[in-house]
Amino acid sequence: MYDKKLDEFLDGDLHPGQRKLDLTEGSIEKEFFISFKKLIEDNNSEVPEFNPFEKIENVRKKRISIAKRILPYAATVIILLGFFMVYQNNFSKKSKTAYSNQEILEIKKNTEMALLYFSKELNACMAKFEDAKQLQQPANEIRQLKDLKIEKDNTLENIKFN
Amino acid sequence: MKTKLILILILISKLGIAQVSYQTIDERFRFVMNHQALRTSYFEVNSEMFNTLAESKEVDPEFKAYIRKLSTLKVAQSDSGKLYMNFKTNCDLRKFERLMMKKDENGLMSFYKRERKGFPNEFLLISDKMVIYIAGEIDLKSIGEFEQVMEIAGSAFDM
Repeated sequence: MYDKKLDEFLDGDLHPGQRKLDLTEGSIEKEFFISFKKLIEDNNSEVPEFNPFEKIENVRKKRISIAKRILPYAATVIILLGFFMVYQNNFSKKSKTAYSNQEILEIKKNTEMALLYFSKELNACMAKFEDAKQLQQPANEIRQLKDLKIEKDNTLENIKFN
Repeated sequence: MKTKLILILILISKLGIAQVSYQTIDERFRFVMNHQALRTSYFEVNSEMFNTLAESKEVDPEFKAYIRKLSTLKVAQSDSGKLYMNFKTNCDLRKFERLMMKKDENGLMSFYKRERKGFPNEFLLISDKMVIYIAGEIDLKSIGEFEQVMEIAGSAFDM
């Protein structure tokens, strides 16, 4: 009886709904279920966790951690390169700003005009200043002669006391 | 008494603000340039442009040698005849030394100079119709010599 039921059970032919199982204490079925449950529990507890992809996962984790470490360096290098390229671009653009001959001539003409105006006005002012100095020169000379005469005539001042 | 003190303090602070409101040469040039009522034409050359000019084949060697010393040139020209007072009253010229002043039938004209260690020399001409600012490794003498430089270059023209 037991063997038959066990076989049926293992073959999957046991249909509890169709047959009446004797689940009273001490019955073979009850004992069977208890021992089967125990067996399953024991199996579950004893079998170590086995992951066939463990190595692959470890390798993948390593790769990710390396990538995480490298990423900031790479980002820094890329950003620096970007800055360098932008700077280089701007610099070359600035240095390569091409002016047409007409533009150059126009800028040159305006610059010359401005500098020449400044120079002419400055020279004119300086000339006036020089003229004013020359106009004042006779008066200064007369003043100097007068001072000299006073000094010469002032006998008291020329006396040296020992 | 307290009210008077507060009023005096407010007055002093206002005076302070009024003093701060002076503009730099650059700011004034910018203002004048954008002020439509003054009808100003503006021209500016920086050191980079001077270098470009100096490298150009179109420029005479004497002129090249001269402009290599310059770092900035700013010119504002206006028919309104108000530039002199505009710059004189609104610009902070206290750091500049006035060299000369001329008054004739054409109006007023002043020359200013500013020399600082480690900075290019600055020269400023203010007249009613024109304001010229020159900065560079030049002195007053070399500015005066520009007329001769242009004569040597053979390209002097009437202003």
